[in-house]
Amino acid sequence: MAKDIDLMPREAAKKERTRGSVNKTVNITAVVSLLVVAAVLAALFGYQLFLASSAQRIDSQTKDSQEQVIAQSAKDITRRALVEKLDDTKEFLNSRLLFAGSYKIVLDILNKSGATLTEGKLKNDGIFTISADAKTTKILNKVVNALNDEKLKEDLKNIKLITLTKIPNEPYKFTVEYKALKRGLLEKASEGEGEK
Amino acid sequence: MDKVNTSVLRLYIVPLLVVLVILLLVPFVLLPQLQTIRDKNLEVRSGQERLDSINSKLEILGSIDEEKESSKLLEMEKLVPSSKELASLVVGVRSLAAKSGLSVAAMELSPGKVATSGATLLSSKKAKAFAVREKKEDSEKITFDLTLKSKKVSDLQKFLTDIQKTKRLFGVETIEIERDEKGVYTYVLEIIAPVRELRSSGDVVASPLPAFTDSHQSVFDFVADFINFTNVTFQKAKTGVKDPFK
Repeated sequence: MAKDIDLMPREAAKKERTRGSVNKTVNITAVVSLLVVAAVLAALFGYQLFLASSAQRIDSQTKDSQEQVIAQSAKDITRRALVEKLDDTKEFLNSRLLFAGSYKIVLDILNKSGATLTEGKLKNDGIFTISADAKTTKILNKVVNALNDEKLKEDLKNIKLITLTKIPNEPYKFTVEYKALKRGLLEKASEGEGEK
Repeated sequence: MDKVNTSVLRLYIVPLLVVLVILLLVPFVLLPQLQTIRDKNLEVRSGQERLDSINSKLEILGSIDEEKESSKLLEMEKLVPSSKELASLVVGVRSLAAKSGLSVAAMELSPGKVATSGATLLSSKKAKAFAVREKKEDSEKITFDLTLKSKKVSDLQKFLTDIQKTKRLFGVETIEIERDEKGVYTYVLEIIAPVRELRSSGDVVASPLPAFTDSHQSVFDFVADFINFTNVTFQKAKTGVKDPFK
C-alpha cells in the first residue's frame, strides 16, 4: 500500500516526466542519425562494390577484345599503310605543277613564232623564266601576241618582259617571266567521300 | 546522486558524442569515399569508351578483305615505297630519259642526311626542333639532281610527260635549261621522290582504323594505269664473306 502512494510533490513529478520525455527524444534522434549515416555509408560502399565489379568486367572484356584485335594486326597494319600511302600520293600529285603541259605551251609559242629557246628556269611554284632569240621584230611580235592570247588566260598569268636586248648582227635576245597556273595531276580523285 | 549522474550522461554527453561522431565521419570517411567513387567512375567510363572503340574496330577489321587490301598495298608500295631503294630509282630514271631521247650527263643523289647541318647547332631548343623537323623531312623523300642533254628541245617535254605517269612517284622541283653554241640543250632537273615508312604511336590497339573512302579508291584507280619504270631486281651481294662474288 505504501508503494502506491506518490510522495513526490506535483511540480517535481511534472519536471521529472518532462525530463524523461526530452531524454527519450534526444536518444531517438541520436540513434536515428546514426542509422541514417550508417545507411549512407553502406550505400556508398555498395556502389563502390558495383563499380569495382563493373571495372573488372570491362577489364576482362577489353582483354578479350584486345587479343582479337592483336590477332588481326596484319589487317590493321595493311589498312593503315594503304591509306597513308594513298593520302601521300593524293597530296603529292595535287601539289605538282603540270610541267609537261606548261612547258609544251612555251615550246609551241616559240616554235610557231620562229624564236629559239636559249635558256630557261622553271619552278614548281609556277614561276617560269624563258630566254629566247628572235631574228626579227616580226618574230618577237608573234611571241608577245601568242603569250597574251586570251586562250591562254587559264594557263598563264603575270606575263612580264624582263629584258630585251639587240646587238648589231645578232638576233633580239629577250627574257620573259610568267606564272604557270595549271596544277594538280589528280583531277577527279578528290571528289566524293563516301565510305567503302 | 547516481541517478543524477547517469541522467546527465544520457541527456547531454551521449547525444553530443553522437553529433561529434557524425561530424567527424563527414570529412574523414564520407568525403574520401565520394572522391574514390568519383575516380572509380571516371576509370570505368574511360574503360568502357576504350572497350567500345576496340569493339567497333573489331567490326571493321572483320569486314576487311585482307587479300584485296594486301594487293592494293603492294601496288601502292611501288608508288611510295617504305624504304629508299636507290638502285631501282637510278635505273628507272635512266631508262625514262633514254626513252625520251635524252642522255644522262650526271646524276647526284641526296638520299637523306643522317646529321643535318642544323643538328650541329644544339645550343637552343629552336635549333634542335629545326634539326628534328629537317631530319624527318629528309627521311620522307629522296632528292636528286639530274643533268640531261639533247639536241631537240622537245625531248624534255616527252620526259616531263612520262615522269607524270610513272608508278614510282617523281616530282620536278626546278628545271634549268641552257643551250650551247653547238645547239645542244642541257637540262638540270631537281627531282624529288617521296618515301613513306609506316609510323605508329600511341594506343595502336584501340586507335580507330582509318577509313578507306571513295576518294582513296579514286586515287588508286587513277594511278593504276601508271607505268612501272623501276621494276628492276638486283641480286644483293653476300656480306661478311671474303669474296662476295663467289
